[in-house]
Amino acid sequence: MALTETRPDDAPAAPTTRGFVARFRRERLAMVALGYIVLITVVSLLAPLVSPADPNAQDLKNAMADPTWQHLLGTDQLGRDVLSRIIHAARLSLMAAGIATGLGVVIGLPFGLVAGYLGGIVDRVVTLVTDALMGFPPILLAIGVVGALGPGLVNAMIAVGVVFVPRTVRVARGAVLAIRNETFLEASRSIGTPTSRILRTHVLPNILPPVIVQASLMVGFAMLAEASLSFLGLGAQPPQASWGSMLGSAARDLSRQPLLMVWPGLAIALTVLAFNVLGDGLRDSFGKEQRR
Amino acid sequence: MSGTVTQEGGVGPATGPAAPTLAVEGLSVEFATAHGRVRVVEDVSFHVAAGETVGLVGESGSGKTVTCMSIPRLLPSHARLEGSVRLEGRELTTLSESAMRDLRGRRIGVVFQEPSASLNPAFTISHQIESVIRRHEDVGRAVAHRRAVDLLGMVGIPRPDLRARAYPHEFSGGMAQRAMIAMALACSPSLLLADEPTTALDLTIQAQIIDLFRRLQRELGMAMIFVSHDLAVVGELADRIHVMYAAQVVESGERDDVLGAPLHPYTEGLLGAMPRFAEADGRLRVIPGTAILAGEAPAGCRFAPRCGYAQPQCERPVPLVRTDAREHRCVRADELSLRGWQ
Amino acid sequence: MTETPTAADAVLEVDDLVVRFGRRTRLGRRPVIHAVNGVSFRIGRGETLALVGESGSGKSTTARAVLNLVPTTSGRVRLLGQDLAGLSGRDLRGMRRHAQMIFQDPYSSLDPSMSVDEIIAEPLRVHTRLSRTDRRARVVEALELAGLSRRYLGRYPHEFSGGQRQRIAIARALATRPELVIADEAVSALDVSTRNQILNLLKDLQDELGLAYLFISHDLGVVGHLAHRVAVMYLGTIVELGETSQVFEQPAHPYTSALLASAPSTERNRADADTRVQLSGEPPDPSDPPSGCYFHSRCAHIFGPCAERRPQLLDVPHGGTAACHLHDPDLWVPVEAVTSGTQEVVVDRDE
Repeated sequence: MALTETRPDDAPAAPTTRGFVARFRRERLAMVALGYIVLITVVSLLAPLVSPADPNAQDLKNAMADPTWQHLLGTDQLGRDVLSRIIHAARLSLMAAGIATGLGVVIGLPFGLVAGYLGGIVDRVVTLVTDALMGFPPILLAIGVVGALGPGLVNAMIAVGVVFVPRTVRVARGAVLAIRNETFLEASRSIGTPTSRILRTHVLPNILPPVIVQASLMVGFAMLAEASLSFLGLGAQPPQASWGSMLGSAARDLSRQPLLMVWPGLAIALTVLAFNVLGDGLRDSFGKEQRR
Repeated sequence: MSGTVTQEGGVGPATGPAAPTLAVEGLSVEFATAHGRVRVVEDVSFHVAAGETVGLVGESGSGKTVTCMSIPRLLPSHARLEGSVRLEGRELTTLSESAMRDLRGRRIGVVFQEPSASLNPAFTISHQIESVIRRHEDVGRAVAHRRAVDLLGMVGIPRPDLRARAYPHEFSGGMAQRAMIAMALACSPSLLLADEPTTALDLTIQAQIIDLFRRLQRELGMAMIFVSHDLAVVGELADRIHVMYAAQVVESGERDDVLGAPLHPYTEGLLGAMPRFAEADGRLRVIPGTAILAGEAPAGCRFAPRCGYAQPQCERPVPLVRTDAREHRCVRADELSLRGWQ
Repeated sequence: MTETPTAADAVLEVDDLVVRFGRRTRLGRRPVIHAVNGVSFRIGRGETLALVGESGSGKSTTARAVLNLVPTTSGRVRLLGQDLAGLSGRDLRGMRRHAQMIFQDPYSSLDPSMSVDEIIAEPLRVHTRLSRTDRRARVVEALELAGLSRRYLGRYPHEFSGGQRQRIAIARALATRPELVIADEAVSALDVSTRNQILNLLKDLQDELGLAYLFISHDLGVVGHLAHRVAVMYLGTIVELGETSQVFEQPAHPYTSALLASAPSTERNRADADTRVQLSGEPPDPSDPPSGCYFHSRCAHIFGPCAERRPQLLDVPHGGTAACHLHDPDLWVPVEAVTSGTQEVVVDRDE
């Protein structure tokens, strides 16, 4: 409908703030979420400097103590300072979630891109495989992959990554289909632009918004998945500790010190929430700037 | 802000019943946008008598569509209406939404630009027409169906008994538009609104639809408002023409007068832009600059920044001047002799 | 240049172009869409040929086939003398620098994620090995040719109006200094004042750069103004071809007359509106073309052969050609030419 001539030819239009940043700033909740994520990322990276005690220092006489000034979150079954362990575990949990998500996107995006753009037999094959993978309940699939690869955090996150691939393919493919008939792609073909360049410079930048949103939501899920796998003993193996494995070992002694479950549980919940809120905020900030 | 100066003789048809079917007075419409409230229609007044066609002409952003859609109150929820719209003596602006719903379809018929967007793809054409009929009249399905078939025949669809059972996607553009016209006329409305009904159609189909409108109006004697950006199309059908620019009416009058001897430079510009009036060296005439957004209107004459006849006096707000059946919004109208469609 | 260009100075030569699309249905049958059914024309340097027609006429498909954006079923397309069919993918892409296209919708023909600079530079990146500075210079040159300021280089499409976007599209088309520009309804989506600005620009560019245009439009007024020659298309065939002014004054094909008569005109006294040529019916379905002359089912002047034989393009009084049996000298003894449909046509049938 918008055939309106909106600006006189000689006066330049409004300045080019890529309005996205400005719009995102208005999403208060997402800004808070982003702040939180940045905070815990920095803290996790600086773990040795920031944590009050050695996370592995055992103090069996003081095991499962309630919070005190010395141990702000109490101690665990081996007398280790919970707060320090949480801080150190953050690094592992975040890294694991990042690996899984990264894997999912790095593999899924190109397939979705090519399948969506080329269509035909390529699309059919990719869709078939994707649908087959999506038919498995995600946690079971992850467990299956870990079963094949053996326990361990890295293997666990590869497993989660595998779960993510079909979902990313779907999102990317859908985004490509949405713009596939846009004239600017035909224009590029008429210019003589090779397909690889079209995919790289035209299709990819225009499908990034939904993919980014999807990725940020997947990080949250990856964290939960890691927690679940580690809880089951399939993820982080001692002496490594992630929030999930802390949760797992705390569950065994629930009756004796219930607080031990609260801290890692809270950490996981808050972080997943933050990623979800961030994803929502990103989604709302994208898209309005696209055309018209 | 511009006001209106009414001199002797209102703007109304020279012939016809004393009370026009539709009387719009001082209509203004505001939209709430991200940049604040914007007036997209400002102080528009006109009458349409039974059997008469009024053409609303303007480019995108002129406010012509919003003006037209204000009458059946088919506006976005954030729109605010001021002024008076009287249909057969009844004030529409203050009616409840349910009362308006009764009027739409029954007393007011609307034909839109894109038939494919306005027809429901899930139902047959006949079903949709019957729904309109049965919404407003207490008739049985068989009677409604027969009337739907008759209507389709009236708008020139061949084998209407068969085509009635077709779905919209089985119709070509021209046929779909005819079907939509049939739907708009289903309850014999006294007012027909047509918003760019031929813009999306092929040339020969457009000619057919224009002829159809002409014939239907002759036979049914409705009041009609025809909105278009195409002056030539409006010129085919309209008895009177209102030219709109930047939310205001800048000129109005009998069709031959407006096209033959325009009083406003914008009308002259629109006429002159037609290829047959190209300059001697082959260049097409251009109205310099581009149409302004409603919110960016200057204080004085809104067309002045683009007007070749602009003078310092044009920087002051320009009222709409009425003389006999003509209106114009140009302070220099008496001095200028503008070129029309000769 | 108004005569049919010779091979030597022809920028584009199209011979018997046929484009058919197969369409699969649920039952596996493939009804075929005959989009283009044997089209031939030439465009000389610095000349504008307009393709005029309604939906289903095949004009847009023809343009896309010329650029090989849709596959050609048969026929030959020669650009600057080079037959495009035999070319490898790489060479074909290379030929594209000589022929560029401007599209109808200014709102979707520019990539919203790219700046004006990047948009115009794309053809240069694809076809040339210019350094960044040279490329930037060419981009600025194209931008200014299109009437826009170099200040706009860093801006994005959504900041511009429809007319300005079309200028950007024109600048992009000019970047490789093509010999031929195809404008597919390039001004149809613009307001009338902007449209005229763009048309004037196109004309100026033609004079300045010697560009040839293949101009596709449904707007006869615009075509009459801009095009040297015009080809009227109906259901994938050219039904009339000739110098624009001649064709419009003395249309030789009944469809051309009908088209001309359909154009809304404020000149026409409305009292005789009902007497103009009324073209009844709908444009036919390209997947089910009629037998014989494609137009015969809607033509007011049909006689013997019309339903059986497809007419060839025959010479007509105005100097061009028209595909209509009425002009076949073997079929008549003195006949009045078909003009605006208000004259009687006397045909002495040969059967």
